[in-house]
Amino acid sequence: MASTIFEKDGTHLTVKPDGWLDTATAPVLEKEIQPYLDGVQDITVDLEKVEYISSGGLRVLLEIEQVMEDRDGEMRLIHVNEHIIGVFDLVGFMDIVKVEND
Amino acid sequence: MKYSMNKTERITARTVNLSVISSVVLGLVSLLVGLSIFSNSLMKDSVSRTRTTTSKAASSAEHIAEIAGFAEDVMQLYESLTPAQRALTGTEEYRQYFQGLDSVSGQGQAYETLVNMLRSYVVDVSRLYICAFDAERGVLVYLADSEGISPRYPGEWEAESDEWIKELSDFSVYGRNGEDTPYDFRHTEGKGSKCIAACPIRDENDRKCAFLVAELYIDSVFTDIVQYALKVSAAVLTLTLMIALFVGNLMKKMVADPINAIARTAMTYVQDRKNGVARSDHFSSLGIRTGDELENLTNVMADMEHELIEHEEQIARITAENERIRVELEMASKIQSSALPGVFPPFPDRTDFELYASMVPAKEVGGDFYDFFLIDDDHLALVIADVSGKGVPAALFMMVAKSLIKNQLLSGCDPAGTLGRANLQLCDGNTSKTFVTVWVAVLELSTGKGIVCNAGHEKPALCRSGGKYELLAYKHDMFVGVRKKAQFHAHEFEMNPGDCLFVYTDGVPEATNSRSDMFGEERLVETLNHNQDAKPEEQIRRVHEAVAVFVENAPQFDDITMLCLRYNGKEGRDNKI
Repeated sequence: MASTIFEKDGTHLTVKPDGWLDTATAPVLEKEIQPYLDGVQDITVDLEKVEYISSGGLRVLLEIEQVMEDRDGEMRLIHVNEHIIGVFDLVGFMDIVKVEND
Repeated sequence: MKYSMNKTERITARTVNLSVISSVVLGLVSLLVGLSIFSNSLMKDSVSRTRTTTSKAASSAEHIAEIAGFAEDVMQLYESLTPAQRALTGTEEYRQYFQGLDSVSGQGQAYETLVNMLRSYVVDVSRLYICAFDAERGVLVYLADSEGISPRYPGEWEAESDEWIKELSDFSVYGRNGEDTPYDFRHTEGKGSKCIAACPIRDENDRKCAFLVAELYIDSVFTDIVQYALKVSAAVLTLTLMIALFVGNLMKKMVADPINAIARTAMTYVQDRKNGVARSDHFSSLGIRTGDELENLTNVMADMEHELIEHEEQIARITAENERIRVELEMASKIQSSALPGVFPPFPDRTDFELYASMVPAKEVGGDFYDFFLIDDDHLALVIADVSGKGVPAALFMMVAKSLIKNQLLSGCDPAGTLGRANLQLCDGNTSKTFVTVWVAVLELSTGKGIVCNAGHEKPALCRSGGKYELLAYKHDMFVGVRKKAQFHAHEFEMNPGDCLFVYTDGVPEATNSRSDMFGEERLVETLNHNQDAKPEEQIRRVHEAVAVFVENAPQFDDITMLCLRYNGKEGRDNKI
């Protein structure tokens, strides 16, 4: 996975991972995101450059979503490709995350 | 590695050689310089001695009153001889001409007095004689000689070198002038070099009547000195050799021996290590206390040895620790695989269904699992699940999930209720947000009717009798373990005799080759439909093979789990095919 871009604007954080999000790369993202989470109320995860998400990648998204829920915040996913939508559908992930594709 | 223990004496030998060569060269140079200084001073000394003696003897000769008359007698006779007679000089006949003179043959006469006087001066010089100078013919005419054996007799003459004659005649003209007495060096046959000096003898009228000449043979002195120098040189050389041997020995003790000791120790060290001898004091026990670089080297080697041993111990600890972990993982792997039903056929006396399943973890232990068991005689439970992540954390979670699901199903819960309860229990304290996708089905064997619940798991593939495998798409519930609020919905299904059901984990479609291509659902369905009538065990084996061919040599990244069921109906398989 190439480096993830983090953009913080007040209480809003935009995260843009690059490449596969799997068991190997998800823990890296999980570690990298921690310093940015302080005071964040809602997060937008831009999956434009993510081609594939494994169960490990889902776990990280779940954790971010859990943090936001604990703060009464929100996690939005944008630019989710069809394959990933398929994965989300398959695992029932669509029920708990907000996907806002253009 | 090759060592050469025959190179142990080279430093010593080189030191000795160097000492000897430098000493010999230095000795020869100083000997030559010494000899040249000595010979120079010997020349000066010879001249000085010869001259002094000449002056003294001349002075003594002047006190002998008869000398003038004696010289006159001899010279008169000499002048009176014919050239033919003079040519006889040196012969007995020639001598006889002069024996007639009183002053020559008479007892107590001038000749004898002069010879005695000359002999008394043969101390510092080799020979003295008195002669007159025949300027006309350029010869010296002898008057008296100190030589005892074959002396020159009065009247005998001798031609002299032009230079010497010139010196003497100049001297005759310009008179006696202190140190300016003439001297010369010349070489003689058989007796070597000699220094000669002359001094005039005057009569009472201050007229030069004769010359007193002294000769000093210097070769014998010089030879003595050279012999002495050679003896000294030999002694010095012997001393030098001894010193060189001593220095060599010192070098051997101070340099070569410690180096050899270090080299031998290093060899012993290597040998001991090969033979597994546990010693940590190879270098520290050497005891080299030279107080120089060698001691420093030994200390460094000793430090290095200790450092290496510590390092090895650390490696041994780590290796042991790794080994312990490996053994534990191996045991964990056995425990996990024995937790899955592994005896096939599992129900050999049942003809109404055939079942096969396999789980190949990517690491020693995995997060995937399958399960199947008869809830009662008519109800078969089937479970396949995939815990997020891999390895030990996933395996721990998997063991808990598997037990929870089985217990719920055995206690009579339907698949949706089972997952609901398992979800609540797994959510409790699940800080790591590990989750598990589960597919659970309960099949009524007598009717073929079943209830299934899919919590985020892969789509199952169903092959109707006589048809092809197809993936079943329907809305899945959320996976188990993270959302307490999650709802699980049951779906009804029906299997007819001859139908086959194939379920799997994402390790199959997401098996990836070195070009990052995934095996995918399409290839999976194609593989299954290559021979859709194959028995469950055959089908699973073929999928494994197809995946292996696809990924080639890329390492397995995820656990691969499959379960395949063929439903034969209550009539049994034999009635159907």
